[in-house]
Formats: sequence, C-alpha cells, structure tokens
Amino acid sequence: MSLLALETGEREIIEACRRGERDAFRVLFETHKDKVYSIALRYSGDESLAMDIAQDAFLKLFSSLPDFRGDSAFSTWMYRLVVNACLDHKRRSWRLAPLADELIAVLRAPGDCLNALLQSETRDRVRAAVETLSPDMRMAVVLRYTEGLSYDEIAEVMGCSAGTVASRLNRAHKALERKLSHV
Amino acid sequence: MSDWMDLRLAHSLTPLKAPDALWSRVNAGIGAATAAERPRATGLFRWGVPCAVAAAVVLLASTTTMELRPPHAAFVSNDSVAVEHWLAHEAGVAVPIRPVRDGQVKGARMVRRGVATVDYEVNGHLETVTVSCGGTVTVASNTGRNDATCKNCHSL
Repeated sequence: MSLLALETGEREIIEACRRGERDAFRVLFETHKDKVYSIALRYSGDESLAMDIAQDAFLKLFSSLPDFRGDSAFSTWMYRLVVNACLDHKRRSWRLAPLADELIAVLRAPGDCLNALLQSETRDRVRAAVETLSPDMRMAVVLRYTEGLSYDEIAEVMGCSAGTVASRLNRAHKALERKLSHV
Repeated sequence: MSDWMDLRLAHSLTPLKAPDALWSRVNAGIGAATAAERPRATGLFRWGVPCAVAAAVVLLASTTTMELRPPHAAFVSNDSVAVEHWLAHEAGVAVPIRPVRDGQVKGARMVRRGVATVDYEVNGHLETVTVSCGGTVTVASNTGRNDATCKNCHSL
C-alpha cells in the first residue's frame, strides 16, 4: 500500500504533519488519542504511567512521520509505535493508592451503589490479573479486547504470526482463569 | 477459550477517553524537542559560520598576499646599505652596493630568488643593473650606457 492509497483526508493530514504543521498534528492527535491512551492504560494499569507512554508514543509519532512510507496502514504503523512505547516502559511497582481509593469509595457509598461497586471491583481484579501476564501475552490481550483487533491484525502489529498470537491468547486465557477462579 | 473469560476481558478492558491534559503534555514535549534541536542549529551556526568566515579570510589573505608578492619583492630606498641588506636577505643575492657618483641608488627588485635588479638614478637617468647570486654582476643597463653604469661602482 502506498501513501496514495490512504484515504484522502488522512493522507493530507499526514503530509501536512510532515511539513511540520502543528495544527495538522493536533488533528492526528485528536483522532487517535483515545486509542493510544486506552492501550497504554490497559497495558500498564497505571494512569500516570499511561500518560507517560501515550506522550512518548505521540512524540515518537511526531518525529517519525517523515519515515512513514505507507507500506502498511497508518493505523497499524501507529499501533506499533504504541506497543513499542508500552514495551519500553518498565513496569512500575504495584501501587496501593488505587486500592485505598476503592476502599474510601466503598465506605462512602450508599447501599444501592454496592452492586455497582462490586462490579467495579471485579473489573479491577480482572485488570489486575491481566497486569500479571507477560508483556507479550498482555499486549495481545489488550489489542484483542480493548481495540478489538483480529488475530491477523495483532500479528502484523506485533511482528509475529497469527498462530503465535493465538497461542499467546490461549495461554493468557488459561492463566487468567486460574487467577480469577474465585471471582 | 471460554466465553466467560471473553466477556470478562471485553467488559474489563474497554477503551477509555484520553485526559485533556495529554495534549498539553504532548505539545510541551514537541516544543521541548524542537527547542532541543535549535541549539544544534545554533551550534552549527556558532561554529560553522565562523569557520567558513575564517576560511574565507585566510583564502582572501592568501590571495592578497600572492597578489601583493611583486610589490613586496621590491625595495625602495636611497640607502645603499639598506638595499644591500635587502638584496642579501630577501633576494638571496650578496653583492656590494656602493654609493655612485652623480647619482644615487633608488632601490632593488627581486626577479626570482637569486636574481635581482638594482635601480640607480644617475644624472637624471634611471639605470638598472641586474645582479645574481654569488656576487656575479651582470650589467644590463636600460640606458644603453653599460660602461657608464659599470663605472658607477668601479670608479669609486
């Protein structure tokens, strides 16, 4: 796929970004910011770290746009930047602050909100379990369930075969089932 | 893979909205990165331009020196001792330059290393004597009066 094969609007924006136009980059940012941040947060499990990762990914995007040749879809290329930014960040130590926040929320919540809080806790446990997966398995899970990518798309982003993606997801499921069996 | 786990993961790992503060951070990062590149350009300017100017000055000076070489190869003086000294040290010609009767030395000019001319003004006429390395003196008067020119020195 060449750059010409991209949608007209996206191609024009990318070309404008290559010329260093900040407004064009803002458009690109607004288009993809939620996607980038979601992957970063779901992968890291830490809002502060997710901001760092997302920032790094966009700065890398800004500096690397002249290198984008259009050999792959722009979204795939951008996913790779985010994935690499995630993998480059070492995991931070487990933080107690979110648990403290949850405890305070439970204590303050009226009775009719208890069910919602329990559901929220379940989600948090699932996310916490995901965070214990190896980086490759975790990223495959995030791309699959946060972004809804197919096995082939995940394989292209992560630079491996679809079979490897299937294997990673299968192992991730088994590991998560063991960790979440009590939920 | 169980549907239960699929649902759990899909429900727990939903996409999120990025905080508004993200753009501020990205924008600031771009600004910082751009600013960080400027010193490199400034550094290039700081060193590159002066170097280029210095090179141009050296080149100009060399050219000027080469162009000024002929005038520097000439020495104008009425002092025979000074002319003799100049010939010995600048032209590599060691010959005695003596005061002349009815005239005076006007200066000398290097033809090439080891060969020079000495100008005299005698009775209102300009006479030139060619001298060469080793003290050999060849009279080449431009007045056509070689004998008279010889006598400028030898008659003393």
